[in-house]
Amino acid sequence: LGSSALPIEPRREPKTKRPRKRVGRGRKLDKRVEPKPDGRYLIYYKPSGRSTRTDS
Amino acid sequence: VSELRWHPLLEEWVTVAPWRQDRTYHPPASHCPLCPTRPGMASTEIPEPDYYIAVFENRYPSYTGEQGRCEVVCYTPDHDSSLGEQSVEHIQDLITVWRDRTEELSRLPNVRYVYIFENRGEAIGVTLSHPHGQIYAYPFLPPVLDRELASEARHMRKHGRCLYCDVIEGESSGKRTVTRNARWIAFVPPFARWPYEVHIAPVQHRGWLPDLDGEDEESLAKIMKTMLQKYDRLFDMPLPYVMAMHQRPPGRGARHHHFHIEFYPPNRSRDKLKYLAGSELGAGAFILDARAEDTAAELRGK
Repeated sequence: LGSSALPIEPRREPKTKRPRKRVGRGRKLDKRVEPKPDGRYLIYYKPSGRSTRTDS
Repeated sequence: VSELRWHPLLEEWVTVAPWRQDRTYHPPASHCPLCPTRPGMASTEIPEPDYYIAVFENRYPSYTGEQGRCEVVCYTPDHDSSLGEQSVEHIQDLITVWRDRTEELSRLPNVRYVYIFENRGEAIGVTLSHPHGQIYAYPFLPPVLDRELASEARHMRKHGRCLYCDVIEGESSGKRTVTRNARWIAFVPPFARWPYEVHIAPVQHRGWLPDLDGEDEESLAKIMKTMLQKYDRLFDMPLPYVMAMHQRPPGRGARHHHFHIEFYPPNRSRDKLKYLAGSELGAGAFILDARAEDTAAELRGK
């Protein structure tokens, strides 16, 4: 009972900056990962070949 | 990190994350943390002045580090928009993002389940109105999915067929169908626990988002948009809902699971909500004052 300790493995440290990657089966998206100053990550996705957005 | 406490009576985990008490609560649109950082304005979670779709680690996570991940998926930079207002192409791109996140989070060592969901509307308890969803990568199999997978495994052992494929076959009369296309069906299940609950499911067996091909994704985007537009026309207002994606867990098992998306709007009419009260919360027994056949017909006509 009470609190638990699940099996734990060390967290993979985020890389400082990753190259752009292309994802998707039908429509392709460019994916860019940016580290945030507090260690979290932020990922931008946009249609391949487009400067930013906007079709919404 | 959060503290996981075991509930011995229900045999499920309770996650204690006290820092979430401090999370941003109904900020004005001018201080929305999910908008892009406009020139001259305060900085937000997204430093660029514009974006298409953005994903980031939740600042107030229930699971982080070795336990799992909590991500926020910003559907669009348009603060006053919604998922259903996006173009089919944009929704298809979101499906690609959800699949990419599923694949990446599934590879984390302690993640047992990747759960994609959206809470929409203040009635549901949303604290940020900007159109967004969330992803929880849990260090355990959440109880609803655990129970669903167990039922599916029992059905497979007994009948040699996928349980949810049989559920869809039971909808051949169309009386509970809201809309369908060649690859997907949207219907109010006969066992719905909310008056306007809708499930969207692939007609052919698919286990999780990585199983979908390009045509599956395009057809899913189309039926999601149609369904969400019907929801907003139902009472001529943005209908609150919880959207819950039920995928199979990562790994080699659970091939018998049939991917589907469940929507639970809390409304039973334009101005009346169904609350989870004594029977539902205390005994786990849902009481419904609407028939699935009637609410499906109502939605079909919208």
